[in-house]
Amino acid sequence: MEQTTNAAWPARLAEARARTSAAKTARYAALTSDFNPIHVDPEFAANTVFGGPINHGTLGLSLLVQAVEMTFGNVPHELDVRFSRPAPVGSSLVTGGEIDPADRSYHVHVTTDDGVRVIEGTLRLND
Amino acid sequence: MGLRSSVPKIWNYAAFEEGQDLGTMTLRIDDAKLRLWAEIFDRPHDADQHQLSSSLLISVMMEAYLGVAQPRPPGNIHAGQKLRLLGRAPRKGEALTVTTRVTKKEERKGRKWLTFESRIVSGNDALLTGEILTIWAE
Repeated sequence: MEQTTNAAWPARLAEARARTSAAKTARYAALTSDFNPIHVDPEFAANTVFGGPINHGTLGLSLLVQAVEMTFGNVPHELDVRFSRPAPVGSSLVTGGEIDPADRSYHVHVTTDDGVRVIEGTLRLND
Repeated sequence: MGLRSSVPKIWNYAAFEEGQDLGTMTLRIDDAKLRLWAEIFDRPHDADQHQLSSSLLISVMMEAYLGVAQPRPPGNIHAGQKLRLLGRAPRKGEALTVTTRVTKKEERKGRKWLTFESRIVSGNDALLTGEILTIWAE
């Protein structure tokens, strides 16, 4: 059962999950008109420092916003994140977040299935 | 008609100025977008869906951001993102107006940083303000 500080301020953000794939990356490229070959061209991406296609960073960020909605509903909020690591296409993404009781902000993150944090930052709810 | 001399052939770092308005686009949350979003996140696609996720605003923001200041040099890095979501999800069929401008231009530790502000409104309703932090390639 999810631990909560009180009804309005749960201790943890809900877990939202997404399994990525080349087909889903192609769809996200179509959704955003971002056809950067680092995301959608395996041959091009194989010759980069990443060694293969990587997900669009904002795909993980979209998952994080869905986790905020799962936790609090559609409430005004602010996110300040950095895309700290690339997430390979084919990895699974899971959101997480822990409250800082001092100021009721949340340390939020998106992690791949092998434990790499690809997005990290802060969530603040607004009135 | 030829291109205006103020429009660069390629939007390299030198082409940007703080305060520069890069343009406004109107994008619609149509059924094609909703279907793609549902397939990406393994959610059911309901053609009559009225409760949409605010996360759709992120893809709208990115589509508009990528629709202005083109062509760009290859290799730009989306390093960080600030979002202010106003608690108002988009609606199916809604036309969203997205304005993108340059708010900060700064060289730090040999890297060329550009910050772009994105604002999404629908009529008089503000839905999102975002800051896209990038490291520009050249």
